[in-house]
Parts: sequence; C-alpha cells; structure tokens
Amino acid sequence: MNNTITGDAQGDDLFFSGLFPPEPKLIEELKSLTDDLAALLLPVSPSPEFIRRLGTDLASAAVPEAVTIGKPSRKKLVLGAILSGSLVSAAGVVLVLIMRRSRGGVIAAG
Amino acid sequence: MSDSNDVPSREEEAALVILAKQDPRAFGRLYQLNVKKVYNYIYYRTGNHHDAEDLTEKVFFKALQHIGRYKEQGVPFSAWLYRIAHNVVANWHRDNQAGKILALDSVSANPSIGDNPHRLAEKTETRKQLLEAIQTLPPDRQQLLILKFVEHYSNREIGEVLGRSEGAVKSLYHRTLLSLRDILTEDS
Repeated sequence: MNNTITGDAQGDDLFFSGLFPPEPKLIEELKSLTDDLAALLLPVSPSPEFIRRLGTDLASAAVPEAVTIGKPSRKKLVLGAILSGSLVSAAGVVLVLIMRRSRGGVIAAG
Repeated sequence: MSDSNDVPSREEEAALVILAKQDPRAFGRLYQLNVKKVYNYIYYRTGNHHDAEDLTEKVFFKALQHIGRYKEQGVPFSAWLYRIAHNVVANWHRDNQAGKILALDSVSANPSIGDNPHRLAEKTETRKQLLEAIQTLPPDRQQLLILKFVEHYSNREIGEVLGRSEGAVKSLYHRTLLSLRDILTEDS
C-alpha cells in the first residue's frame, strides 16, 4: 500500500495516528525505524524434518484410546485376577455356610 | 496432503476445528496450517531455533490435548494457538531465562550491492541494538511487531489475536515505535 508519507503500510498507519501535524524529523526517524524492523523481522522456516516429525508425533498422540482397549495393561490384569479370586473365595465361603446349614437342618430334622 | 500454504476461509477453518473436536486425528490439518506461524512467533520471542522447536512442540501438544474445550469466538484459530504460545513462552522466560537478553541465531545483515565491510558491520550492529530494544518491550508489544512484520497481519487481524480493537492496535503500534526510538536514542 502506498501513500504520500512513507510509501508503505507502516507509514500509512503513521499518517492516521494522530501524530500529525508531523515533525519531519520524527517522521524520518520512525520511517527509518520501520525500515529496520522490516529488515530484521523476516519470516523464518522451521526445518522440514522438524515439521514432519512433530506432525507424526501429533498423529500418534491423536489416535483414540479405543484402539488400545484390546491390550489391557499388566496392572489391569493383576487387579482383575485379584478381584476374580476374591469373588470366587467369597462365593466358596457362602456355599460352605449354606451346605453346613442345610446339613445341620437335616440332622436336626432326623 | 495439501499444501500448508493453502489458506482456508474462516468458514473452512471453523469446519476443520469442529472436525478436530470430534476426532483428534483431524487436528493434523490445523497443525499444518499453523505450525510456521507459531514457530516464527516463538523464534522471535526466544531467539534461537532449538528452543523454538521445543516450545512449538509444547504448544501443539497442549492444543491437541485441549481442542475439545476450544470455543469458537469468531476469531482465527491461530489466535487461540498464539495465546497458548504466549503462555508457554512466558513460562519459559520465567523458568529459564530470567532477565537474559537473547541473541537471534543469525542477526547479521544481508549484504546489499555497494556495502563495504564497514557498512555491513554497522548494519549488523544496528540490527543487534534493535533486537535488544525489542526484547525489552512488554510481551504484547513484541507480539504486535512480530504479527505486523513477520506475518504481515493487518491491524484488524492483530486486534483479533490480541483481543483489542483495530484503533487500540494502531495506538499501541505507535507507542511501541516511540518506545523503541527512545530506547535506541538512550543507548546511543
């Protein structure tokens, strides 16, 4: 974008900034400063290898957890075994108590 | 894979975000579209490629982790990424580099026709001083300069990222230039 002050977008901003009436020295200084900024602040590119690697890492991290449901962890297996064992034991105890009671009932009746 | 330089419209970008919220695997396209912007921002805030890579990675993993909570507010998706990047860089400065002035990996001036070694050295020195002056500015002013000069954003676009009106950005820009001029004048 061109304008009569600096010929660039930054200069255009200066024109509308309320700095006017302009002091020629100040305008020159700010124009020189914006030129230096434009020369210093240039786009840089990350390495293609970095972009590719991070893209791959993000894709791996984005895989839904449902995919891993078929592979339970060792911790889950151990907890499952303990829980199953406890349930079987409890069921066994209940069964023994029921049997004793029913035997006792038979003797008492006999 | 399409070219990351194909800039989608605001509607297309919003559709991509909705898709990524439903299925994080669709986040890849948003990554491709924004990785250079985020990298540039972080590079000019940290001053070196190594940290720029580390922090860019952090930003995108955080974004992927929280994409489900993203709320469309009528501003570019990059505004959200810049906010994450701003916080990541702030933490990095707090934890690792408190008070340290950072030199860019390559601050040397590019030689132009007619530059003698003395002139080239002078230009490099000017850029070094300017960079140091920029790094003493508050973060929002640094961000404004990066968005304006590196990304060539308009004041309206900068306003969307910074959460300010166009007029407020214009005013902040002029105050920033005057601050820079004052810092450079004091130094010389």
